[in-house]
Amino acid sequence: MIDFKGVHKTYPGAEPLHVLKGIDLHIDEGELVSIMGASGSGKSTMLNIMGILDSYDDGEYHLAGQLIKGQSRMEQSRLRNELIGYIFQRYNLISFKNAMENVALPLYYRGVNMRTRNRMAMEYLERVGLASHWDHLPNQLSGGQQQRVAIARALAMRPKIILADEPTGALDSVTTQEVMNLLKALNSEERLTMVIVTHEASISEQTHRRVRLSDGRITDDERL
Amino acid sequence: MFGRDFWREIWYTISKQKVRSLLTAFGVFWGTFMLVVVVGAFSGLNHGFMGLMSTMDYETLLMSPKLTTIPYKGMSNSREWTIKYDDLSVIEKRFHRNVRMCGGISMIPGKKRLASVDGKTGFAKIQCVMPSYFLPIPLKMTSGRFINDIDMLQKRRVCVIGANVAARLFGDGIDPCGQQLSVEQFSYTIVGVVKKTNSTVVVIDNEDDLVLLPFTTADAVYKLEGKCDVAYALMDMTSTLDRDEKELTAFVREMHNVSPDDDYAIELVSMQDYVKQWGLVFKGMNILTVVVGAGMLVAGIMGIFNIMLISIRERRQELGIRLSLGSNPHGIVWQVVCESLVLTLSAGFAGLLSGLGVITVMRRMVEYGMNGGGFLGIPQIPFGVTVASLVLMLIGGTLAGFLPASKVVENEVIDLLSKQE
Repeated sequence: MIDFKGVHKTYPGAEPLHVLKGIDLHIDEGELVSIMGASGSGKSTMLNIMGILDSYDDGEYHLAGQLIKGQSRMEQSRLRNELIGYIFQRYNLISFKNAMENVALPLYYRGVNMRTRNRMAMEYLERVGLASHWDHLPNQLSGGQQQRVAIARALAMRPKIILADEPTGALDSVTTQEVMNLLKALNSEERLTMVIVTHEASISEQTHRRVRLSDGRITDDERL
Repeated sequence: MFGRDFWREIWYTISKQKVRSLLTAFGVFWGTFMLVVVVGAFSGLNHGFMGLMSTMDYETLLMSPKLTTIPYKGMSNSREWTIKYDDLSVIEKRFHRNVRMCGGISMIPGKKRLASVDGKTGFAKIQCVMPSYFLPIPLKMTSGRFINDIDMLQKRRVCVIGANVAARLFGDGIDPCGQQLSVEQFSYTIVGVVKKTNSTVVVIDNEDDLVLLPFTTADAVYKLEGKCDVAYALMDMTSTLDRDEKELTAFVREMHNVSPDDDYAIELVSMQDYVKQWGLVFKGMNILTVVVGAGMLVAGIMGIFNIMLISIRERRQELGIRLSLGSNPHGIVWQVVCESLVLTLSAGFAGLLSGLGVITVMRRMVEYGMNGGGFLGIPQIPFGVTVASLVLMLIGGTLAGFLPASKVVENEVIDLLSKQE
């Protein structure tokens, strides 16, 4: 599903920052993988490249069998829309849309009409246990609730893979476990490929495979 | 892409950001409003003045004799000379091909005491005129008639009074025609009331405040000896008008032994030149109003540019989220362009309609007679300006959305999401 071969990434600047120094990584369909590493190790950059949110310089990245390189912005957006659901540390909900409208937004970009997409959005909210909060704006929800809305939104895209960047980074331990249980359930029930970037050992222990990253290189790759 | 949902999404984004949207829209609203009102109101001014003038299909050449400044044919300078009543028919005969008629005007010095039969009194200046006076001067009869040829021939004791004089002596809404008016020891029958329709054209005094007597009557009563303070010739508008005027004045000088080189001895005013000068002034003012009005609209659109630029920066994260959820970059650009256009055009239309509303009210007011002494005509709805401002808003609104949005979607999505520049 995800295939990195010698991927390099340098951020240009007065002092160019060589963030990824030749990453080789293969992730199969249905895997639940965590990526660990200290801050600045390049783990988020790796996830962003996986999600076609950022570009890379050298090497090859195949997503679902397709080489991701040199696509136009249009083509990139089509791939994102078809394949990937994102969960961000800061939820990234649109502040002036309520929970249901946030979940329905990716369906809008798929051309689903309003009645259908709102019904589908309600189903996904039900799935994350927030159907009763459908008309709340993001700032009327707790952190855990917001993240569950974000998960429902990622699910609404019916993605092949879910990429989560520190999904519990802003949550307390109880809500963290709720969110993790939800993600684990989605992985096992829907056979969704899932990549979670985290720096918490307790999170990575709940995944099937742990990849450790240090200074732009993979230092450890163990099955749990 | 442009289905109901698309517009719903745009309306939703705009209406959820009320303050920002209102601030953005106000500049354009004000710009279009002012453009339409300023240009429309000016067109009223323009039509009022030029409309009255353009009906004049003949030239009026006014001649006022002054002291001579050059000795000529044995006569010293600083000599007083006058054009006489009898001269007028001589000039008419001599230039019968292109002079329709000549006339003279004289003022009786000082204000005279007036009295109505009812015993109301007042003071006014007396002006002696001929029937042709009604032609070049913008006057209308509010009642009765003007002085005619029979008055002149029979030296009738009649007069025409100005509207202000009539109001003072007889009161508003009362027709004084047929009543007697005493001007000191002499009595005249009032035959008409005149009102000035364009206060910019003044020969000697504003007729609204005068008592007008037939020239011949006044000549007999006040012993004018046929002396005209101002003589005028109504001339055909031919291609040789300039030369005809020179010949005519040369003839007048020759009649009274005034040197042909003595420019100061005769003051000439050409009504057509006057109209032309005003025409130029109005043309200049017209250009100025369009430039000022268009400037306001452009400033309004610049405001949209400015606010769209800021709003795009504020919305980098939102746009990044939209891109990460599968909106394509063209969709984002279109969305921002349409937001900008909806704002610009709705504000513009509101400004346009309010402006046209104000113009319509002005039209009504002018039609009901509040026309500022004839200076205001009916303001026109500036169609060309309306269309041009719509085109300007269309182009400006599109660019205001397109430029910043197309720049922002060139970024990597992650750069937008992380909210940093």
